[in-house]
Parts: sequence; C-alpha cells; structure tokens
Amino acid sequence: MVSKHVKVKVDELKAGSAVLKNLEISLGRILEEYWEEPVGPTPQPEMTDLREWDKKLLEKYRPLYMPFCDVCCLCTMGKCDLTKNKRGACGLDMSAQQSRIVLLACCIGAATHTAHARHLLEHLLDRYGRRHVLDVGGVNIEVEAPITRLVYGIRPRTLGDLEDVLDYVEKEITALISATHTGQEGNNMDFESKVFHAGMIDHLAMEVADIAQISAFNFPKADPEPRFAELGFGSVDASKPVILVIGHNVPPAIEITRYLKENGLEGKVELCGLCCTAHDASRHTHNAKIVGPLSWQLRFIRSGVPDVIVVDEQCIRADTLIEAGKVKTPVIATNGKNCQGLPDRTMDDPEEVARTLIEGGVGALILDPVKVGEVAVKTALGLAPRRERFKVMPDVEEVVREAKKCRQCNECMRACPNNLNIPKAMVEAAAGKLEGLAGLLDYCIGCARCDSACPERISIHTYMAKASEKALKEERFKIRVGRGAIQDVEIRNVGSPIVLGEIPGVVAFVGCSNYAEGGREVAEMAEEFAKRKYIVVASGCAAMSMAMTRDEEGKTIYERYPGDFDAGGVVNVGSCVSNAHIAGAAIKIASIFAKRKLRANYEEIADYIHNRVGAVGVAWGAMSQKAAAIASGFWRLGIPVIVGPHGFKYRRMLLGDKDLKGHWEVYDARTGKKVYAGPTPEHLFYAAESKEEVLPLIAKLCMRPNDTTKGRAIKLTHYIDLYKRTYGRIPEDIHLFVRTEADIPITMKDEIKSFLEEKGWVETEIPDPTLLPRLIRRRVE
Amino acid sequence: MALAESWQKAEVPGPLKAMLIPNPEVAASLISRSRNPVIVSGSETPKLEINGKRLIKYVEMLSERFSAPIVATSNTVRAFDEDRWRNVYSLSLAEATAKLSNPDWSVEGKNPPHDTALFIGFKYYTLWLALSNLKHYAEHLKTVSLEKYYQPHAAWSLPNLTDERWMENLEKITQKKEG
Repeated sequence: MVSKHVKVKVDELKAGSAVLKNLEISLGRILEEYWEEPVGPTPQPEMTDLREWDKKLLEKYRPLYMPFCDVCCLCTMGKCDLTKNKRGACGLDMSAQQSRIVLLACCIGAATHTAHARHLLEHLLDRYGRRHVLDVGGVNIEVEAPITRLVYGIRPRTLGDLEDVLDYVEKEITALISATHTGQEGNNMDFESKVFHAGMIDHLAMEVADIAQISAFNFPKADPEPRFAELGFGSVDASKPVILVIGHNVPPAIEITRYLKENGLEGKVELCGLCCTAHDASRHTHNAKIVGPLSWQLRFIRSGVPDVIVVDEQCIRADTLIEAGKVKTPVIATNGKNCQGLPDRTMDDPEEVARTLIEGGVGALILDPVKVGEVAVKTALGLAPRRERFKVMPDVEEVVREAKKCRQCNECMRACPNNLNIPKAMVEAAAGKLEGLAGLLDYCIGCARCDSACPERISIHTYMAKASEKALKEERFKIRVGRGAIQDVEIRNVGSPIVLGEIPGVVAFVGCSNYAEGGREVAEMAEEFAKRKYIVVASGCAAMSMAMTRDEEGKTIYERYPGDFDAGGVVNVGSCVSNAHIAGAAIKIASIFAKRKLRANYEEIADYIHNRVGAVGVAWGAMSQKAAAIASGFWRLGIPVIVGPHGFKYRRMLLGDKDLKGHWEVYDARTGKKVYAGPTPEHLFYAAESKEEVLPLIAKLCMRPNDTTKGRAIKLTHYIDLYKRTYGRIPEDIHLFVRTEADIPITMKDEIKSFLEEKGWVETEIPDPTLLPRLIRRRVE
Repeated sequence: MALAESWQKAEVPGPLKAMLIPNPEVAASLISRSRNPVIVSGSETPKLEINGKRLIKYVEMLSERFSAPIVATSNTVRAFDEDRWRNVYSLSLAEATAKLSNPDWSVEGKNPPHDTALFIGFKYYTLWLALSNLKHYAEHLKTVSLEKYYQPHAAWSLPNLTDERWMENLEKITQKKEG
C-alpha cells in the first residue's frame, strides 16, 4: 500500500455546539490493493539497497575509463589536474571523477525522462482524471507495468497511481545527483553502483510515461501488426501547409490533430515530425508523417518546407529559432524546459497569436497544448501562401558560387565529427560537380559544425542537402508504427525457446543517430539478425534509420518481416520512452514464463535475466545522456549494451576478461557448487570500431550460462558463421563456449573438434546458473 | 595549422600533451630502444591508402623492421591474413586497451611485457580515447602514434601531416638499417 500525505488546515470552524481553532488534519492517500503477491525484499529501493547485486556485476565487468578531459572544473578549488590519477583539491582521483561524470550523465538522462513523464502525466490527469484506467494491451496484457511492479512494488491500475511512482523516482534522482557534489561519494565503484541505480530509475520513469500515453491517447496497444506510417523527407506533401513537430512530448501534436479533425481540416494540412514526437504522433493518427531521425532536423528546416515549427522537449537543436528565421518559419515553443527566448503568449487569444505569427512574428511560447493546436493550424494555413518562395533549396549556381569562396583551410573537416572530406567536395563543387557533396550527406549527422567553423560562412550543410535534393525528395519509406508493450501470450510463446537458447537472441536496436558511417549500418545489422531468426526490436531514431533502406522490390525491413515478438520478427516498440517495453519484455520472461516472483524482487529477476535471457542492446548512434541512462538500466538487469564508434566518448566501458576464469563462475542452484560457465555474456558495455566487429559480437553476447546444448549449438553456429564472414577465420575463443560435445554445431563438427583438441579443451558442466547464494536449493556438503 | 594541435580542434586534453616526433629518425630510435614493442593496427588500416600505397603494407614493414607483433583490432586481422602476414593477433581496441594497461601483459604471453605500443589506422576519436586510458593508467607503457594527425594523449605523436609527409615519415621509419 502506498500513501501520499494530504494536509487540511482550518483556522476556525464554528458549529452549533463547538468552535474549533487551528485544526490540522493529515490524510494519507490510500491506494487500493489489488495485488495479492507478497511484497519482495526490495520495494522502492534506495541507492544502496541493490549495491551488493551491483558489486557482483562490477566484479565481473570492470570499468575501463577513457577520460574525455584530464581536468575537473566543477568547483572553485579547481581546475584540478587529474592526469595519471592525481587527486584533485577535493581528494577525488581520475577513476572516481570519470564514474562521477557518467553518473551525472545518467542522472541528466533519467531526470529528462522523469520530467517528461511528470509533465505528460499532469496533462493527462487534467484531461482524463486520476481514475482513468491504464490499458496497454487489453486482455492480452495482465502485467501492464513490469518495471513498476518490480521496482516500486505496486500494480498500478489508474493514471493516478502513477503519480506516486514518479514521487519515488524524483526522490531517488535528487539523492543520486547529490552524491556527485564535491565532498560526497569518493569511490569509483560506488559511483558505478549509483549509475546502475540511475538507470533502473530511468526505466521506471520511461515506463510511466509510455503506459500513461498509450492508455490515454489510444496508441496501438501491444498490437503486433499496427498500421504503417510514411517516413522520409519526400513523404511530406510540401504543396499543403506544413506543420513540423520536433521533440518527445506528444500532447501538442495530438492537439493539432484534434483541431484539424474538429474543424474539418484533415487532409488539408500536412502534419509531420522529427525524432520521438514523430513516432508518438504516428502512433496516434494515421495522418502524421515521420520526416526522419534527429539528424534530419537541419536539412528539413533549411529546406523551407515547414510553415510552422512546433518544438516541445529533448533532442531539439538549440538554434532552431535562428535556423527557422532564415526561412521565415515561425516557431512555437510548448514546454517550459525549452522556451527558446520567446514571449509567453499562453494567455493570449489564439486568433491574435496566429495573426502575429502570420505577419512576421518569429515565434511564441504557448504552454497550453490545446491552444498550440489552434495556433499552429491557423498559422500554417495563413502563412503557407506567403512562404511559397522560401520553400526551395538554393539553386546550383549559388552552390558553385559559394564553393569558389572555399579557402581549403580544412576547418570544416577538423570540426566534423566524422572527418568528412568537405574541402575536396568543395573543390569539385566549385567546378560544377556536386556529386562529392551529395555523397557526404549519407555520412553526415546533421550537426552543422562545418558551417560554424567555416571562416567564409559557407552554408555547407545546406549545399550538401541541395546536392542530394533528388534523393531526398525520393525518400519515402514505410515504418510500422510503435506498438508499445509485448503481449503476455507472446512472452509465453517465446519464453522457453529464448531461455533454452533455441531462439538465438533478442537484439534491440535503440538510440540516437550519431552514426560514424551513416544510418544504413543499423538497417544492415537489423536485417542480418532478422534473417537469422533472432527477435529484432527497435525504438527511437534507430527504428527510423532501419526503415530508410529498401530492397530490390522497394520494401523496407518492416514490410518484409512480421511485427510480432517472435523469431524473425522486427518489432518497433515506439519512441524513447517505449524502451521500457524492451526491458519489460525481459522482466516478463522471468515472471510470466519462469513464474519468478515479480513484486519488488529485483535481484532475483535480474539474476534470471542475466543468466538466461540472451538479449543484447545495440545503440549504434547513441549520443545523449538519455541514451546513457537507458543503457545503464539494462546493465543493472545484466543485459549487455554495444555502442558504435562515437560511443567511445561515453568515456567508460564495462568489460569482462575471458582470461580470468574465476570471474565466470556461477552457482549451480541445484547443488550450490561453483561452476565455470564461460564468459557469457562477455561484456556489459562495449564500444566497437566497426559494423564488422559488431556482427559476431552481437551473436556472442547472446550466449548465456543457461543455454541448453541445442540452444548453445544454434548460438555458436551464428557466432562462428558471422565471425568467419567478417574476420575470414574461425574465432579463437570457441573453446570457452563449448561445454559438452553436444554444444558443437553439427555442420561444423570436424572443424571445431580439431580446434578444441589444439586448445586442450575439456568438458564442463551445464549449471542451473545463479549469482545469488540464497537461490541455491540444496547445498553440497 | 600548428603541428602539435589536435586535428579535431575541440579535443583539448589537459595539461599533459604528446611529445612531438620531429622527424622519422626520432620515431625509429624510440621504437628501437624498447624491449618489446607491439603495433596496434585499427579498423581503418585496410581502407587507407597513401598516394596509392596501402597503409597495411607500412604496418607490415613496421612489424618486420622492429620484430614487433601486430594486434589487429576490429576485423582487421582479415586483411593481414589475406596478405599472408604472420605474427598478427586479433583483439578489439577495447580489449587491447584493457590488456595494455596491465604491466605484465604481452600479446604473445612472453617476457618481457610490452613497454612500447605503436598505434596506426584508427578513427581519430576512437584512438584519442583509447590513448587517454593508457596515458592515465599505464605508466609502464610508452605510446607512440604514427597516425597522420597529432594525437594529444599519446606519449609521442607524429604531427599533423599531409599525405606526402606522412608517407615520407612511414617510409623512413620502416626503412631497414644498413649493415
């Protein structure tokens, strides 16, 4: 039972028989108790309650710190030089400083999801009331909030129940941030444990946000085959008035669709979006189009296509107002976290605000989503005819003329995160050949640091987009809209084959679009594992990038593979906050399929997942603090996460060492005996240099101590096959993953047996694995 | 462009920056003096050419000149296998970095452990971060960047170079001594 205190204070109350003065009544808000499962050992854990579990993981997966900066500049005793592990004025050394920065990043990420969840929930409570029933999948879902049940320890039934969950989350984030203050935590491993705590809290906040919006906005409810949405620059009909929404908080976009519908304007105004707001708008209405991932922001704004830009929160370029101003597009800011310096027009007449924007106003802050809906539509309708001349890219002559100004100083290349050879393309462009510039756009993450660095102020990013104009206009893809949760029945169907290893793994492609080699790599990786009958899950910008490649028949991955959570399925769960359903699916395998107690029973569930559920997260373009927080939530569940080359900049990895045999022992729950289980999974957080490195690594990290011989043979088949394909030889560590001869893939038997002989391989036991002594059923004397 | 300035300009490391290798002879001398050098060759190695000559050839020449094993990161080992080059070990950059920070480690399992590591063929930022780890946590190790661009976290680094100058440096470093 959870209570929230409400105080009633009465200064004076007169009745016929008495007068009461200074009466103060304190009432607890009482949640009805629907859940009979007894409360487990860690309800609403504080930051040290799961420290022992964290230590078990951190002993196996040691932090590898790669300082991004050698000094600390967080207090006025500094700057402090921490080079070669010197201590700063506060006594902190480099390792602690690095883990502290990771904690700060994860707290920022968790706070961002939490503030989003709170903002969204308050809006929904206002609109639908506290008693609005949560429904994320109708009769197909009984475990509606697996993370909430596991961490907080309640079974939420209504929107109002979620308020208490967020109270807890906010309390924990505050405590975690306080630990980063000067003179608080000093031990790097304790910082790391707190990082895990921040991640777990982050997952809780994401779950609250998504189950609330699914329930209230009638998003697809765990539907394996929801409708398709159109995606791509070219999917937007620029002949209509265009409203572009950017960010993560969907209520303004929903109010826009509501206004359009109520006023008979559906089909007359184009609504499109970038980043997660686009995902969520497409979950709400078939009319919303997705332009692309966040790296498409600048190219789309600069194209002049949007007549109005509505920004909410997260991942929005800080210079949106400046960029929009260049093409005379007004900006409507809708969220207190991102006011863009605009005047607050929330209380003004929408008609009047729209008129101001049509007549040249740069933008307005409107904190009421309903008014945003009206103002955005009226402004788009009024402004579109006046903006015709801005809805064009520059002409080729301009590109050539500007390219001739290039001094070949290399400043653009040195500013580019991907070191793109812009100077060379500029020389070609000056000669009238734009192919070089066009080719660069495929590798461009849309940051425009090149523009900023150019001493001649050449609009390099715009010219890349101009050079690719034809290809951009042909960008039209299909994406299955975010389905939200995974059904209980799907979990029951795949629980056994996943845990036994017969479905070789669940691979989740998540995160942002900070790719080193372009988004096509994500599509290629996803396709590879879908073809191999892994369960492929996707969310956020990665889910969009996966859709942006077509086969010879013109079909995207979502059109070629089913959307159910099963072998060979490609499952788009939705936006960033929908990542909660990926963790939720792993948790539900432990609770629904394996019938492990769920309520406030974190360690046991995480132990189950870590040892039995072959899941891997791949955040190939992860760039944000939110991505760090999301990853850390998976780490605490013992699920490994791989990031792409730019992920090295997260400045620390969690690496296992397969050569340290003692690190890979588990208890056999049947006997209590310690058994060598091999490096499964070998790493918990790993940054890779290339796609070729990652393909076999994903397959390898799906192995778990619990795999049956059949399951291990299947997993080894994929690992060895992918390794051979990308490395051209067989892996040198196969002997660490073969426990008995029955583990050896039949088709590779001779080759592997002779390899094992060379390595002096001996058979080992297959345990009933656990890291928790309390789960041992019978101890061996 | 200053010689000892990070190629990616925002990469300002801190008080300790790599010593500049002023000429190839200094690099050759540095490496020659080490007891057990190792070459760490990155994911870009097979993709890069300098004026028509494959970078991987220079890595092989380095290995030969200094009798140094090669740690090939990512899937780079494939390119060395295709060249039928021996003495190559496959480790990821993450794993190689972790191993190199252990003062007792050598890739061949022999004594003495590695006291010098040469780096070549990486994305600029992946290497600067790996070198950052070694700068802070591997006091026993001398790290030498033979990349085209200055790497501030190495102990020693070539400066920012044009392709021609880079090639010239690598040619001279790998040149066998007469007699």
